[in-house]
Amino acid sequence: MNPQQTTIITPRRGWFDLDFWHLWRYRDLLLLFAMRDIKVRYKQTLLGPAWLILQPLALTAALTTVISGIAGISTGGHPAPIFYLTALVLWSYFSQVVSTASQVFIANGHLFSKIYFPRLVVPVSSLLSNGVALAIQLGVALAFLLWYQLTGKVDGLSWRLAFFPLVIIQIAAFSLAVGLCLGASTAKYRDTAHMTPFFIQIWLFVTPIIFPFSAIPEQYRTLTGFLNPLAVIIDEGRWCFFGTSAVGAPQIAAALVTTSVVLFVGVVIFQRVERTAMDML
Amino acid sequence: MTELPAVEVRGLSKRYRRGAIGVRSLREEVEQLVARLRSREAEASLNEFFAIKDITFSVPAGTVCGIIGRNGSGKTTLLKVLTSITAPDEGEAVMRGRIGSLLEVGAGFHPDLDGIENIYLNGAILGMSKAEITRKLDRIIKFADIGSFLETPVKRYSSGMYVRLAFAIAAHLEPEILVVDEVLAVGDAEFQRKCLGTMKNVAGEGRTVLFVSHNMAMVRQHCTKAIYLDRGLLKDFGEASSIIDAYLSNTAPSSDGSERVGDDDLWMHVAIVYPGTRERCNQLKFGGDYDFVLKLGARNSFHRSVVHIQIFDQEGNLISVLESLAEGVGQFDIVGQVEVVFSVRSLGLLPGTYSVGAALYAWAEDDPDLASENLLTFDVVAATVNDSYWPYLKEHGIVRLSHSAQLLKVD
Repeated sequence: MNPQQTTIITPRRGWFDLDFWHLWRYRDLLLLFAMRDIKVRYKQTLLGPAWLILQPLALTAALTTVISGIAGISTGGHPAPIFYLTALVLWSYFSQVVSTASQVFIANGHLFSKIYFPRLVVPVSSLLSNGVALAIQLGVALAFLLWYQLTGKVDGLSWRLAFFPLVIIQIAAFSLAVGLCLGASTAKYRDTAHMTPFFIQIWLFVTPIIFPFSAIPEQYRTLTGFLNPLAVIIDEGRWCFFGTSAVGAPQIAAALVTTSVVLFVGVVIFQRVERTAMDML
Repeated sequence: MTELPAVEVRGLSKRYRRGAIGVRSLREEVEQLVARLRSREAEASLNEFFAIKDITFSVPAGTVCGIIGRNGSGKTTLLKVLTSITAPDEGEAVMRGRIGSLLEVGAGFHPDLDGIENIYLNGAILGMSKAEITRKLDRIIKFADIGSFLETPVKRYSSGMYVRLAFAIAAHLEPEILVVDEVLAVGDAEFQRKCLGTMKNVAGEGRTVLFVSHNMAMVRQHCTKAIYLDRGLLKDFGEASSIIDAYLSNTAPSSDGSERVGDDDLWMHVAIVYPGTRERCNQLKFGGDYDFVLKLGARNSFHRSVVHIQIFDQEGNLISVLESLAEGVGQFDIVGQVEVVFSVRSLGLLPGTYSVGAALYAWAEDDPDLASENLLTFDVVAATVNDSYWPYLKEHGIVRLSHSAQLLKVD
C-alpha cells in the first residue's frame, strides 16, 4: 500500500489548503483538457482556426473606422490598426479565460458530480487552450508590425518584444484571478452568471483599448494600476510593440499588487467552494 | 506491517436542505443570515435533513463490500463523500490507497473525440498519468473490444461499446479501492460477467471494492460484507448474507394485499383477488387461479394508455411482466375509473415471496407516467399438481413451465 495515497476526508480544512503536490500529480490531465478544448473548439466549423484570425481583424477594422476614423479618438500617434490589434489580442485572451473560468462549475457540473479531481485543473487548463489562440493572433499582430516597419511608420520589431512573455504571464495570472473569483461565486449564486458578460463588456470600455493609457490624467494613473491592472498590462504590451508608454514603475507595481491579491483571494475562495459546490448545482 | 483497514469511516454525516437543494440567490442568503443572527433556533427552521448521519464502519483491505438500502437511504451520498466529490459536514473518513471510482461510466468522455483520445482523457480524469495510460493502452483496447472504432468519435458508438470502453479504462486504473455505483446494470450479459470478473480480480489482489447495488442477487454473489443504510443511518454492517436477509425482511411493504400509487389527478391501484370476487389475498397457492386487478383513475382523462404489472422475486430480479398490449388489450383511454384485469390461471410461480410493480405509459412513450416497483408483496405456498403426492417447493426454482410427465414403456 502506498502511504502517499492515503486520503483523509474531513468536513473543513484550513482556510488555505492548496496542495501543490496533489495538483502536480494531475498535470497530464491539465494538458489533456487543454488539448481537448483546442481540438473540439473548431470541429465542425467551416473556417476552423481561421476564426481566430478573422475575429480580431474584423474588430480592428471596425474600431479603426469608427473610433479612430469617425469619432477621432487618439491612438497616441501610432497607426490605428496595429494600435487596436495589439490590445485586442490581449483583451480577447482575458475575456475568453474569464468567461470560461466563471462557468466552470456550471459547464462541468455533470462531470464534477461523478468524479473527483482537483477542480482547479479546469480553469488553469483554459489558460493553455486559450494560449494557442493568443499565439496565433499575436502572429497576426507581428505580421502587421513587420508591415508597418517596412513602410517606415513604426520602429517595429525590436528587443522590447523579448519582454512580451512577461506581459503574457501577467495577463494569464490576472485572467485566472478574476476567473476564479467569478467561477467560485457563480457556483454559489447564479446572479454572477448573468452579471459576467455584462461585466466583461463594461470592462472593455474602461480599459485603454480604444484609447491610449496616456489619455488618463497623470494623477490617476497609479490608482488605475490598482483598480484595473489590465490597463497597465495592455499598455505594457503596446510598449513592446511601439516603444512608448505612459506606464512606469509605480503603475506596474500597483498592477502586480492587485493581481497577487486577487489571485490569492481567487484560489482561496475557489478551493473552499469546490468542496461543496456539487451540493449546490 | 500491521494491516490497517482500507476504508475507515468515523461518524460521517452530511446535511442537505430539503427542497431547496440548489443555488441560493443572494437574497435568500441574506435572509438566512438575518434569521441566524436572530436566534439559534432559526437553524432548525432551515429545514435541513441528514442524507447520512453518524456513519461508522471500517472495511479491511481485500474485501468486496456491498452497500444496500432503499432509494434515498443515503447510498449515493455516502459514495460521493468517500470519493471526495462533496465534503461531509461531520466526521472523518480515511481511505488507504488509490481510489478508483465508477459512479457513472464514461463520465468525462467527450462525444467529439475519438476512442483513443477519450482513453487518455478519461484515464487522466480517473487519476492516471499519460505514461501509465500509454503503457496500458493495448490492454484497455483489447478489454474494450471496440476494434475498428478506435478512431471514430465516441458519439457514433453504440451504448454497449461506450460502456465497454468506459469500464475498460476504469478497470485498468488498478486502484487499491474501487468504488462502483450500479454501473454494471448497463451493458450486455457477457460484458457484465467480464466486469464482475475484473471486480473479483481486483479483490483477489488485496484490493477493496465498495459496491452499491439494488440487485440483491448480485450483492449476495459477489460481496463478503455489506452495509445496510436506512434513511441515512447505518442500520447494519456485517456478513453480506445476513445483512441482505435483514434488508429483505425489512423492505417488504405493507401486505394488506393492495397498494396505490399516484395522486388524485392520476392514480393506479393493484390488488390480487380470487377470480370473479373482490376478495383480496396475499397468500397464493401454487397452481391456483387469481386475478391481478389494476384499477386506474384520472381526474380529467388520460389517453392512449398502456399498462403492465411486473413480478419480481425477493432479490429484485424481474420474473415476468403481465402486459396489456401483448395480451390484446389495445391502448385505451382513462376517463373516470377503469380496471384492467389480468387473469392468471394455474399460477406457475413456485413457492417463495414475490413483489409486484406496475406502470402506466402513454402509447409510444418511453417514460412511464406512473410507476412503482414495490406496490405489494405476496407469498406463494407449496401445492401439488396433477393429484401428485409430491408438492412443488421453493427448491424447484422460480417458475414451473406448464408441462406434464408420463412414463412410457420402451420395448
